[in-house]
Amino acid sequence: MDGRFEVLDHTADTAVRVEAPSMEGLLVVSARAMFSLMFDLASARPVSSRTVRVEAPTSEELLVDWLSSLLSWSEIDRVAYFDVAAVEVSGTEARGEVRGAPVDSLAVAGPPIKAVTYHGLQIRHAASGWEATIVFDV
Amino acid sequence: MELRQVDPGVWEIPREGAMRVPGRVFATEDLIAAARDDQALRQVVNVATLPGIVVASMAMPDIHWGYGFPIGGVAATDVEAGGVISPGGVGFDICCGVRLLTSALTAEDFERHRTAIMDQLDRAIPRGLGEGAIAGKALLADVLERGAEAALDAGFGTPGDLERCEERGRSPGGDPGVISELALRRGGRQLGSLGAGNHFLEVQIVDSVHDETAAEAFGLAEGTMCVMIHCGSRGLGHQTCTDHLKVLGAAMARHGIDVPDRQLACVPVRSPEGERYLSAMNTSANFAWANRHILAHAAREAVAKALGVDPEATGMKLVYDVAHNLAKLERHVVDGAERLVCVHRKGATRALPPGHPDLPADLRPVGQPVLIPGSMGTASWVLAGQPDNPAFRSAAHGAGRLMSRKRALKVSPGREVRDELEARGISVRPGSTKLLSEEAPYAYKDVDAVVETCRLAGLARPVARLRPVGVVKG
Repeated sequence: MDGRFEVLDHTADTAVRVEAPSMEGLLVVSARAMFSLMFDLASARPVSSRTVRVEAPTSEELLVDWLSSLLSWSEIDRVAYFDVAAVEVSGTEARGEVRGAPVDSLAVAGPPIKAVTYHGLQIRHAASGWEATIVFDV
Repeated sequence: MELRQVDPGVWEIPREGAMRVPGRVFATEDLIAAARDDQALRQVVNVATLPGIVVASMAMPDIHWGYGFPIGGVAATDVEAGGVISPGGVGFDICCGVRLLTSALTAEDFERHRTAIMDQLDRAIPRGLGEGAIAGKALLADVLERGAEAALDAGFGTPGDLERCEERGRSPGGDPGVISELALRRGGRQLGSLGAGNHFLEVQIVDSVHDETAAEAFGLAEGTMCVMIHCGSRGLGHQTCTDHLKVLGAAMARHGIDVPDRQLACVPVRSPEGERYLSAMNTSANFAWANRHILAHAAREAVAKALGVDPEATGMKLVYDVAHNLAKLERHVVDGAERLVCVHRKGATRALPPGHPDLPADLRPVGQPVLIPGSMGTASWVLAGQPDNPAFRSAAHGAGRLMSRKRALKVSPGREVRDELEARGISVRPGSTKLLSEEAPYAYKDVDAVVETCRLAGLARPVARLRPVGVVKG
């Protein structure tokens, strides 16, 4: 999936700007961005998978709920679900298969993320398709 | 945005647009200059638009840019007049707070046993991403209902601990039934663990005493070894906040509420969604009270083991335990009449004045201990609540970040930060050396300036300054 992200300055927490050609792409790239803030994924190989489904009234809330769900399952399963194998957005619902590596097998890249915030979140059309800035509570 | 100084250490943002009350920031010129650099003051303005907010949208001297509320934000809403409750005014780490233990040990005792004490603490305190917590899952339901009291009954801590704890370590209406399955699963394995980020356990020495009477009541004398613990409700609280932000966000339209930032989602306290959040928040707070209580127990045992004595012989006793991320229903005089208000403290510490009936008898003459940790490697402070506090009996909660994590990482690698701390006589036991640089002293404001502003603005008075000699980080 095409797309990119960059880490932004935020005084207390951590923010990323994510770009992708489609809403599905935003979900893929933002998942990778979120886990790369916590872990060094350079040599990570996904070994376990999980199906995730979220529903929300707006695209912004769908993005937050998607990432929040990955974060919750990551802490419960102790797996960093950085690799989205398949995802489909249909109306107010997103459904995907995510894959990941056990957190204990990964080198730490940053502090654990406590939660995904709605702060200042807006999904915009950009030259490359879609763009969103997401602030994480760390 | 207009910002004018109205008193020494007090700044006001006059009402404009959708603001229902003015903004009020307690800060010196240097601290307000730092707040101007990011979006913190805009966030003070946003909070001023919340339905039912009274007096002012306030910010403590350690104000900095958060999400929704500024960190250091204090907002009270009139409960019986449609006033709202907002999970954003509490934060994801519900009831994050600080616990301070004093001891019968001195700086000399610590120096004689420095390595053994730090190594035992290193082993005893679960932290970071690692698996493991001190208490088993079996205790979870009781802890959610009864907080630190349940942990005490299970054999953690010592009698007398609860008196020295805000809310006696038990928030009202704890009910495990209101916590989601996801939150229970996330937090179930984390009872008695520190976490990471800015959470820590520090060994400190009382460096100077500024109020002899209060210091004596708190059990602090110059040269005393102390242990300070900073942590919260872990994944259980994070998930509870996440769950309710979604529910409240969807319910706002039904209540005719519009907010400038979705993270400020709120509903009237007196609404089904508001009551459910309040109950879930209090239940999560019970996890946090118990979590710090259990960690303190482990720290006491670790120090005793290092010294080869009984835990009782360490003389380690609780000075106080305070929350700095919580919303509470309290009675305050507003416009000359006593009202029930919901006081949100997002990175702010409750500060009860001398004589307050909620204080234990031995603290009543001097006021509530207010714990203000500095950044890693710098001083921390103990203050005491003052009469006529102008911020709904609140004071600062820490040094306040100055620099983003991204920028802090670029200044120096974690290894250098560790070496510098060690060279200054501060033993470091990091969960991850790499992460030390994000929490380095240069990433934070000057805690002494924060404390001075608290004094100047009548928020709290300085009692004792503590210097770090050892730090256990996630």
